[in-house]
Amino acid sequence: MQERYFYHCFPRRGGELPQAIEKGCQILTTIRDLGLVLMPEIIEWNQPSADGAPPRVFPVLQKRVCFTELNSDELPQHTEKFGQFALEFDTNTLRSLGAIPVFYIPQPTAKGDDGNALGVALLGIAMDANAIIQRLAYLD
Amino acid sequence: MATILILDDRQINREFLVTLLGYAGYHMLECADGAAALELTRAKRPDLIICDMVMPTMDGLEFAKALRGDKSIAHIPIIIYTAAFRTGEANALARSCGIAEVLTKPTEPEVILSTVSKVLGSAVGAPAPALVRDSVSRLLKRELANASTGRFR
Repeated sequence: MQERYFYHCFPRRGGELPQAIEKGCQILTTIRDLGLVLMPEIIEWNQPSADGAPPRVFPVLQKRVCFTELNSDELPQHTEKFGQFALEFDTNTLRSLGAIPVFYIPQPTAKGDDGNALGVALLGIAMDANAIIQRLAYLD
Repeated sequence: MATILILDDRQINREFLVTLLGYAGYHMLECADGAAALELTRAKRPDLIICDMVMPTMDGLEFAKALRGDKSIAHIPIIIYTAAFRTGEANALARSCGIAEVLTKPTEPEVILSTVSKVLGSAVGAPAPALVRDSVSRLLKRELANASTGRFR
């Protein structure tokens, strides 16, 4: 059985090859200078309402770095989608540093009348709870 | 390390830039409105201001004009970070107020970092002291060192 590693591949949205190489080199330079950071990204969520009112829109600042567990034979296919630059890490090392399995939250449909809206509803509640805790901490 | 003031009425936009540029070791200040940002600029003298264009009470244009009108802080470079549909206006502002650069939301993090570095005329600084990030950074350096011995894939 082949040994498996965690791979960090980039650039995912690199475009055509010359642009992808340039962008990949830019990212590699950033990694060289700053380390492999939890890169921030603003994700805007839409929570549909049950009564047809406009959805509640709330942005979330997501900070993450992504790795995929693969063996080296699986890497070429993976890089076709996620970028031709690949950094390999020992799985146990990354796990000891706090890498955890990804938790996907399904995007609700436009109507929001199916189970897919549950995830964003829970996320909204978590955001509200976080806001309350932050305000309490501020008062304290 | 340089000090950067983020002026944006949306907290999450400020949080994004404070997080990203904080990784580069910059000292970060933030403000939600132009009047407070002018006061903070006079008090703290940041090396760079990153400013949104569309804000209530004082927009990016008014802020830039006010800044340029105060001799004690007029020299501070400004980067406009604005939504795509405002690019034309932002470029016009840049020409009229000596704006260093205009970045369009969303911009890739690498572009933001390199633009800030270019405007400040300095290399990207040392990483912030976060345990996980430092550890991963050390791991990455080791892996890069292994490249010369053929272990790198």
